[in-house]
Amino acid sequence: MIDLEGVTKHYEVGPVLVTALDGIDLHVEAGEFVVVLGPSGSGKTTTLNIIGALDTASSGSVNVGGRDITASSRSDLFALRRETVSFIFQSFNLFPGLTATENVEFGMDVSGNRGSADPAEILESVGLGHRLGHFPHELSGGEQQRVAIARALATGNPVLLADEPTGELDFKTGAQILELLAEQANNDRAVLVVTHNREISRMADRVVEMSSGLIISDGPPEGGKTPLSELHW
Amino acid sequence: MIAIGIGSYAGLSSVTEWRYASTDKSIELTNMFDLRATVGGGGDVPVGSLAQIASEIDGIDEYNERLFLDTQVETTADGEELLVHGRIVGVDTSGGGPSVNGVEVIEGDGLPPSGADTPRVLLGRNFASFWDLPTHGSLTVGGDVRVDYVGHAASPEYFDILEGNGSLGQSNLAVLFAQLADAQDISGRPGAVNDLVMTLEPGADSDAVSQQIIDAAAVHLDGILLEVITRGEWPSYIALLGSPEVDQSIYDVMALLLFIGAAFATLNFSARMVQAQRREMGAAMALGESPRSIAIRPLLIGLQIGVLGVILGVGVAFALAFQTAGIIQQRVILPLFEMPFQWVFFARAAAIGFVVPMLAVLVPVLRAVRVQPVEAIRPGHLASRGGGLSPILSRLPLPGRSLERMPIRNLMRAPRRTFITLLTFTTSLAIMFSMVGLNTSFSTTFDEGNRELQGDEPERFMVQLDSFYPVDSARVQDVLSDSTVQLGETGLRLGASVIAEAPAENIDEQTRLDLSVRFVDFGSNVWTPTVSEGELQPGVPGIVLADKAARDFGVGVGDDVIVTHPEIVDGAFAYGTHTLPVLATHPHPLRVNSYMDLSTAADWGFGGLANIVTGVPADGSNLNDAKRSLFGTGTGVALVQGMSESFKSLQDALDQSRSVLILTRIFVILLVMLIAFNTANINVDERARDHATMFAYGIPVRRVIANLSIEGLLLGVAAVVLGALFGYALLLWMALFLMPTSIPEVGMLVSVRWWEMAAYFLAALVAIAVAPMFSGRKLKKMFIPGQLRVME
Repeated sequence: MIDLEGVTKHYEVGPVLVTALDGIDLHVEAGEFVVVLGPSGSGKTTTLNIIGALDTASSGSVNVGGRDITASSRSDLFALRRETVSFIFQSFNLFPGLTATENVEFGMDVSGNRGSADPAEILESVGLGHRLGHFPHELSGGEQQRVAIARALATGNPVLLADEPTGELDFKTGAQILELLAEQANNDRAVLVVTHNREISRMADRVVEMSSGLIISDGPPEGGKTPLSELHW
Repeated sequence: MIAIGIGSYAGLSSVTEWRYASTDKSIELTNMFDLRATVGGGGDVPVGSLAQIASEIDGIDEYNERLFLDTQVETTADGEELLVHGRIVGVDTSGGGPSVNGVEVIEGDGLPPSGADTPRVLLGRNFASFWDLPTHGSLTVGGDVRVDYVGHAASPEYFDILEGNGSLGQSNLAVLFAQLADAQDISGRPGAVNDLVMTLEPGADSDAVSQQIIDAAAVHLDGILLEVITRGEWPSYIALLGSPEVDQSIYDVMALLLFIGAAFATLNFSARMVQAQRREMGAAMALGESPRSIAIRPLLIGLQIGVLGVILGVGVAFALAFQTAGIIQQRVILPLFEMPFQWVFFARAAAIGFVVPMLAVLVPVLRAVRVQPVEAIRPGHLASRGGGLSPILSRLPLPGRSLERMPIRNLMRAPRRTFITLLTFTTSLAIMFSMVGLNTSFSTTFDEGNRELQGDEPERFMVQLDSFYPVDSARVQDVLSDSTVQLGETGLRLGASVIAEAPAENIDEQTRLDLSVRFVDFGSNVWTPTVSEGELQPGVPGIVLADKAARDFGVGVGDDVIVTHPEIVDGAFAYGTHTLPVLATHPHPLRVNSYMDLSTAADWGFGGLANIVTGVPADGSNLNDAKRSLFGTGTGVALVQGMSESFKSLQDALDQSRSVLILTRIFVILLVMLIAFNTANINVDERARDHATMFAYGIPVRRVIANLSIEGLLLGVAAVVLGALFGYALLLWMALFLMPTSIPEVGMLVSVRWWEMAAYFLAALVAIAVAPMFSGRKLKKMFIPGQLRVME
């Protein structure tokens, strides 16, 4: 589902050339729940952005959902985002003028998935059946992130990318969100979660650890996959 | 926006001050008459007769005899043939005169001595300016007399031309200043004068002096009626004083509305600016910085806006002032036109220009620094939380897909912000509506008035005879039988002073009006006035008043009015008074026009006489043919004028002002564009994260811009509706309350050409819709991941 081969990313910060990714290889299959772990500046978010076609690699090849986007046009990148990947952000990024239901409908509308599912059912599936007509500012952080997940799910896209999805949530709420994300992998989606929280990585199928733009380890979590109930952070 | 508000107020107000001051100085320079006595009935008296009368009356300071005669002038301008009403004003320049109503050379040479083979004159600057005529040239006056003009000149009676109840204006009255002897030669009246202009000694009673002049004339000038008017009754003088006042009222309203628009726009902008800085402010508060010092930075930005607004406003003011003054100088010919810098207006505008943005910034700043630091730092604080009506508005079910609903939802979630933006658009569009509407209303008033007088004949004309002649006299019959004239009818036109006998209770003060009473055959098949109320009754003594006059008098059909008018008693002119019933009212917008049946003229001693003939060009002829032919018949014809020229002076003024009106509209469109651009730009900055999220979900830039355009258009459409409503109210106020105060002679017909208004509004809507496209580049260059991770 996701194939990165020798991907590098350089930024120019004034006269300094910063290497964010230094030739990484990453392969993620459908149905996998992968956590990308690393401290700030390790390159994990850059990796996520390149997979999500929000950013382009300086070199190497990128293939997402069967599409080679290494040298894709701008419009192809927009199309990939509509049809293949969905994002969940740390700060939710819900549309403040739309209700929970309308935010979910947005996901359906952009991907052309409208009619294949009921937004109310999707919200129900994330535990927000009672908050359909509420606006984002009327919801708690956890509820807002659930709406964001519902919006991403509503696209029906096979790749789910989450950038620090629990960053603004308390432990209990964060755990619930992770559980939700993990469930999506069971629905044959590739779920990639970026975090700097090592504890979260314990519930993943696979942990990709990064440092200084390199993947320093890639495999099952240390000590094996841990049930959510045993996590602490 | 502040600059436009400041500029329009300071610039246009400066023009008014310049006009008042320059008018006073020009009148002083040329020593305008206090009293003017004219020989009535087209007659004349020997040179010295009028001066003799003046010399014997106490209170008269200086005086000059003149001979003036109405004629026809034919010349060309840029290849266009001009055949207009002319007036030769013969003055005595011996001793450096004339001392009263001086003739000031504006351009070219001074008035040469008389006696040249071809008479040499100075051409009135108004006419020359309107038609862009050179300083030296030649023209032909009535009787096919060639005259050379050697310069352009101005005299106080003609600083602003408004004569013949408005039918003579700058474009169709060519004044020629000539030596008295030349004027006598051209007119075939050797040694004659017919006019006396006088200034009074300080403290002299003008009414008493007038009466003495009339009485003296009755004694010394047998059978001659002198018509005496004061300076304050001269239409040009009234216009000189009244016109700037009206213009200023309009400027004030426009500037006020522009200021309101600018104030709301600034409030909107500054509120959003402060909101964008809320986290920094919160952090500063958390670090212990005092609210006062936190408030300084945004306030300094307000100050910057104010300073820049004032600086740019000065530029706008100068541009507007000089443009407007230039236009006015083409229409109102003042020998002195001074344009000193108007400190007071600029200082006042600058003060407002400072205060408005400062207040606009102060309000949101005070709100921002009043909250707890933790609240300010919290993501989303002060972002529109949907207070007030927004919970209700936001829950309104909307059709369409989520993306399609987004523009409406965005407007609904911040009703106050939406309302302020809406107001800024609305005020601008209201100004435009009223300005365009006022222009249209004038045109409609002119057109309807002219149509009323023309009947079914667009080239219907009136021949004004230079005196009263028996209907069967050769002079009248020559006109009627002229080969260029058909459907000719004789008539009479007399001036009369009218007052209601018992006005309606809602009239506070009894109004006395000088009306033009035209005697026409009420049984005519050719032309009779249209009747609004009542009926024309041939043979019945009574008067038909204009609707406007009847309203001003407070009378209706069947009520009586008291008419003081000239009459002929025992072969001599005198003034008499009759009480007459109002038979009917007519819709012509000029209230001065009133009618009586021709057969009742005998009651005033004018039976069988005529001083006007109306007609239409004969088949194969046009109006110019008729004018040439009738003046060619010799003496007796004073004026041949198309009925379509009844509002010529106002039309000329409006034509000259058209560029100011266009300039105002350009400013308004510019203002709308600025507001639209500003709003779109702020929206793009403020919703950067929303847009980044949309991009992350694959929504193309063009769709985001389209959504912004739709949002703007929704506001624009609402603003168009409100702007039309407020604009119409403004138009009604200007046309029905402001104008009647300044030009009470005209009953304005409020009219709006909806297609024209639609075109302007469409232009405004296009400007609003297009504005977000200017943000396209910014959206395309957006670093999406950076925006998505912003912790707002």
